[in-house]
Amino acid sequence: MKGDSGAPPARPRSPESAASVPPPTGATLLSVEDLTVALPAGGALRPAVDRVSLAVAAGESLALVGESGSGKTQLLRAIVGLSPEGARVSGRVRLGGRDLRSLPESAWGSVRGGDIGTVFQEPASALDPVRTIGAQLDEALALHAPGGRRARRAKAIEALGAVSFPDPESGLEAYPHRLSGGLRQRACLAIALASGPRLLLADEPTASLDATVALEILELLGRLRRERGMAVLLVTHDLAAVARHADRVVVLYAGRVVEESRPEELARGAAHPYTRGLWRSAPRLEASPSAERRYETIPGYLADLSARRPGGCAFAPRCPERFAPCQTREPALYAVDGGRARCFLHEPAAGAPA
Amino acid sequence: MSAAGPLLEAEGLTKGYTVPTRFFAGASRILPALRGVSFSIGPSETLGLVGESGSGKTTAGRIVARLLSPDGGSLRLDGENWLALSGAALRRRRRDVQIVFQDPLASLNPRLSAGAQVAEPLRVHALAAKSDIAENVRRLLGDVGLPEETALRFPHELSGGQRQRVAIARALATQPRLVVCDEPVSALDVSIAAQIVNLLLDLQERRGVSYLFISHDLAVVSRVATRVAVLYLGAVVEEGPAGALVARPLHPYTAALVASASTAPRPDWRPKPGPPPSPLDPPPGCSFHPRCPIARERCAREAPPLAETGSGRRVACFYPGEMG
Repeated sequence: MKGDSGAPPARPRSPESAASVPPPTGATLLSVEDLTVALPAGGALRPAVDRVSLAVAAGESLALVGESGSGKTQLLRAIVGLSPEGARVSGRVRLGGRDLRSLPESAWGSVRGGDIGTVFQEPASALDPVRTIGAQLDEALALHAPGGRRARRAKAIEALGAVSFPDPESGLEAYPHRLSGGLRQRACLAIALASGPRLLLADEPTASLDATVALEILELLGRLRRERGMAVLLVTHDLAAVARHADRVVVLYAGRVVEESRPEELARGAAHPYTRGLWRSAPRLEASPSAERRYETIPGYLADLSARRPGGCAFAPRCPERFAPCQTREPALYAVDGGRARCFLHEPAAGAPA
Repeated sequence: MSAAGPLLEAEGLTKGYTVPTRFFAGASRILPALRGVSFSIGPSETLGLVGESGSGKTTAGRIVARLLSPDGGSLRLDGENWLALSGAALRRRRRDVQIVFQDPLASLNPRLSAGAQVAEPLRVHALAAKSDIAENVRRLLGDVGLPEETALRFPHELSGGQRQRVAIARALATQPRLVVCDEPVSALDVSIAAQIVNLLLDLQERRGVSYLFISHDLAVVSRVATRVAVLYLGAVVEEGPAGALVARPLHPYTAALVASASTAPRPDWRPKPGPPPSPLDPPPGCSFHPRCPIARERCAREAPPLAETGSGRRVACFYPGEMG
């Protein structure tokens, strides 16, 4: 596998079903199949997102968990057709049966800020600093809602009210810098929701917010999801948020899906050693604090894209449970309680991928 | 070292910032960042200072590290008036109190190798003979879990976790009595943050250093700190042993922080929805009362004092522990 860094990244390296696992309930809204995003690094194209398949059902909340370098941001960008220049993207992305990968740029207008809404980590950078919240909301509404200015103003007030913006009417006149981080994020949410999206991509939407405010925003997301039947793809490193606000979890490591699970399985003991390590090293309040204050940690760190070597399990160098096969071939996703895990510990006895 | 007394004692610290008011050039107001904050830190102890943005926690840390001067209040280091020192006397004693910041990329000098960063305080404070500096640097890097060759690398060549280790090694170079850690793991990935927390705990055990550990994250603070002080809009609203404070918060705001940081999907107690008040305009009476679900009439009129409740706990609430 050493010499394959220059090979087309789309070529499957392990025999694995490319089909995404259908979410347990509801019709599939978003399906990502075998998606690879290769970026130039260290003189070659290397996969930042590596043959990722996942599906989100209508109205479902799927959490995508990963640390820096896991590929979660590149995956989101690829879904909305915004991969960086020089990237090579392969695989399929479908939204409600529509093939997004073959969409001409001219048709993206009805998808980005249409069927798909987005909110990001830093609301300050997502908003235009020199225009009022009202003007920015109006722009989003004008794209999707027929009707005159007056009707749109009423809609804008309604949109701010829907995200629990206090005093929506005066909120329309506010400039982003006059608002607190929590209010800015509410404004971003109102803009993202203006088009009535079927899917909301939320990239670390609470990372820059205070804890009590973050909880409010996540609960607001949950309420809007239930009210509108909107699906949410929540990218986060916050396992506390996952445990409380997601229906399912997909864990990414080094561009690969390493585990698909349910939040309750995380607490019970995840199947993949990386997910287990992540859970143990995550700061959270214990019901009964133990005398041992040290965290159980994952040793080492994830290598840069340019320093990663294919072959074997990408987590093996940091894995406390690695054994011989982990160094030489990559495990498939094997069935485990509540999901699947890419780890030989769960390989069926016969050796056939599940 | 003085016998049993606290290493650091802060009493009634106040600090206001002048901020321009909207649209009118020249007009300005005072933002009260600290409104009479008191705390103490014992030898080999960690005081966790937890609070959200605008709580004044960073201001408090910088005052302790003598990077900022308070408007009022007193600060004693080993019984000595830490605020009275200036000039050469202050420079000499700075080695006793060091600081580690959130973003090592911003706090490290981009043009100095990791080794040179760690060597700098040794030179400035003349803590090692020229011929011993390299050996000292090697040992300090080893203490923070970095291999020798890291000395030759520049900040941009290191990972976030490695950079924070270099910043910690630099802070430890002067053998400080107290290290102010201002959000030291907030910019790091979960698995790396846990490694840094463990490192800080190890170093404390080996060297007996005290920490003022500042963070917005109660989960981390309660893990690292022996005692925790909760700041809200420039005032301590609750203080006590970490375990007890988390297990049974007495102040409604502490209870809200506990609810936010907990993973358990249970019907939690939380503040009333709505934006936190502006630090420019702290509400009258108890500054938490507009968000407090158990606030009564008295809370809007009168500010509750920070009062002892026994078992080493203090709380500024007229109805402590009543939010269930």
